[in-house]
Order: sequence, then C-alpha cells, then structure tokens
Amino acid sequence: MALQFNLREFGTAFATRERGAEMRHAVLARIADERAVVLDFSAIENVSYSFADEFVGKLAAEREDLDVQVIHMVDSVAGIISTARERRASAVAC
Amino acid sequence: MGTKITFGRTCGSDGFGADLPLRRDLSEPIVVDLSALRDIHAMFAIRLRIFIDWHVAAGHALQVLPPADAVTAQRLADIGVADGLPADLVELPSPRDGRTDDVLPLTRFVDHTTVEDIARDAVALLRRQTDPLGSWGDAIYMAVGELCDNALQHGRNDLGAYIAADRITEPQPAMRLAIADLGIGIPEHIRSRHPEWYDDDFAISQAITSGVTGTGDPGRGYGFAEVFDQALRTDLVRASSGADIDIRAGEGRIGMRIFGHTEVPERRNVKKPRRGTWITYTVTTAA
Repeated sequence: MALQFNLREFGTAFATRERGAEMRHAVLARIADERAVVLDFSAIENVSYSFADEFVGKLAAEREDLDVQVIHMVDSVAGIISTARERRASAVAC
Repeated sequence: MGTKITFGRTCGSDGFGADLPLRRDLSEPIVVDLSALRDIHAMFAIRLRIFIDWHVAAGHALQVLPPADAVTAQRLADIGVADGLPADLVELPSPRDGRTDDVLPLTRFVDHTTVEDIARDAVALLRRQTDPLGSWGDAIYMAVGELCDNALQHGRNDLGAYIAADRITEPQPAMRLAIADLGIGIPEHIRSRHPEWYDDDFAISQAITSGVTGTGDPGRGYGFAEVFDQALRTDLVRASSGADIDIRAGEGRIGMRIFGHTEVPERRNVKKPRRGTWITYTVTTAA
C-alpha cells in the first residue's frame, strides 16, 4: 500500500531548505506500514533546488526501504526534482 | 559635533558604491545627508536601511536628511527605506498605493516563513516588466529561494537578512533584485571547510561552483549553480537580454554575466572590505 501525499495542502510553491525539511518530516509522520509514498505535485508551480533536495532528495536517499514516487509535476519542477534526486543519491553512494 | 555622511548626486545608482560605516565609535548624532541624491538602486536602499537599523540597535542618535529631488525621495519611500521607522528619523513622503508595480518593498526576514511570499512577489514584479514571463518566472523564483536560503543559513546575525527589488526602464528595461546580510560572509563560511582558499575573490568563485559546500553535507552546494542554470535555460536570454549576478563579501567581488546561453564569470573591483554578503541579480529584458 502506498501513502498518498498531496503538496497542494501546503501551498503552490516552495522556496526554502527548511520548508523541505518540514515537508519531509510531515511525510514521515504519516507513514505507518506503507512501503511506498506517492508525492502528488498537482498545482505546484515552483520549487527551489534546496527545497527539492531537502524534501524529495533526502527522503528517497535516507529511506531506501521506501519507494518514493513523484507525480503530476510541471516540466520545470520535474527537472529540478530529478536533478536533486540524482545528486543526493550519488552523494550518499560516495 | 557629530558625524555627517554626505552622498553625491550619483551615489545611489551604484548598489555597491554606498559607503556607510557600521562603527560604534562614530560621534553622535550621526547625520546622513541624501539631499543631493538622484536615482536609487535597490541595493543602495538596503545598504541605507541596514545602516539605520544597525545604528538604532546600537542606541545611536541618527537622522537621515531626505533627497531634495521629489522623484528620488518618492522612489526611496516606495522601496520602503522608511517603512516602520519614526517619521523624525527619515522624513520621506508616504509610499504610493501602487508602489508594487515598480518595486518589491524592502523586507527584513529572520526565518524562512516569509521567503515564499517574497519569491512570489518578485515573480509578480518581473511579470509587470515582461509578459508573458516564460521561464523567467522559474528563474526568479529559484534565485529568491536560494539566495534567501543562503542568507538565512550562512549569514546569521542579529539583524537577519534584507531583500528588495526595483524596476528601471533606462538604458534597458531591467529588474534589480538585491539581497544582503551582515553574517560572516561567503569567504569565511567556505573557508571553514577549505581554509586554503584565503583569497576572497577565489573563495567566492569556488563557493558558487556546483557541488562546493561549506556545510560538510556532500549533497549540498548546488544552490548558486542552479540559479545560474535556471537563468541559462530561460527563453528570453539573447543578445539584448540576460542576467547579471554580482556577489560581494569581505574583500571579494565576483560577477557572473549570463546571456546568449553562456555564463561569463569575472572579478570586479572592490574599494573597501565589507561585512556580510551583498548580492544583486539583474534581469534585463528586450525593450
């Protein structure tokens, strides 16, 4: 079973690393027995790189037992999140 | 007696040129004379407001003589230099109701809670200059987020950090975003991990390189690089438009010009060392 997490509940744009940490903690607080989490970015217009790294990058890198899926992103947000995940994954691997 | 600091006609137009000393040994009252001033850069407004807040916090008696030119005085008021200050400290006209068409009013922030609102307002300001905004909206949002994040995380000091922006029409339409703090500055921060980077220009140029961080977290150090990358990806970058990022800290000053899908770093002259980190991000669009 997957936990569905809708960012729209928290806003439409996210700009800071601290905000990313808040969101990551919010996801972790909702997880019970789920092995997957679906982050729904519907209606999210902008994110900063540091937000993406702190939220999605760290969530995926630090919880390898979780399948972190990200859906419904606009192209610009998708690019930022993809880059952040790749860099964070390689940073952990090193 | 007291200390009088007088600005000439053009002193406000170069955001980095304003020399306003933050020293406890200045004799009181301190008078800042802006009467000859014409033209205001967003960074000058921040520099002036930090000077005021710092000396007020130090308990110094201070007075700012406003620009005699009515347009300049109104511009200074609109950008918010006097917002929240006693009227007898800085005598300026009231800000115009529609000032946000032309400026992002000067805002002091001490935590991340207001940064998203500031970033949204900065995007809205640029949209008044160029519509459709295209991917410049993403670039400005990224810039405000990353630069404010840096100011909060690596620029900690009692006053917090400051941001303001303004739009100009000559010589080309441009939006000028300014962010500053009185923290330890980028060179000192990066030297906590790389003490061999003793030259401030070199330390700044390394700090803005992708993957270089002063935090010890190998996943960090990409904020500046992403700001540049976002600007490079914008669909408005061409010969007549582009971006310029100017970073000043300590004795260092590094500029990055972004146009035609290239970025050109360059050293820029510094007359005096300056505490904290001072960054301007200028977006120039075709007329």
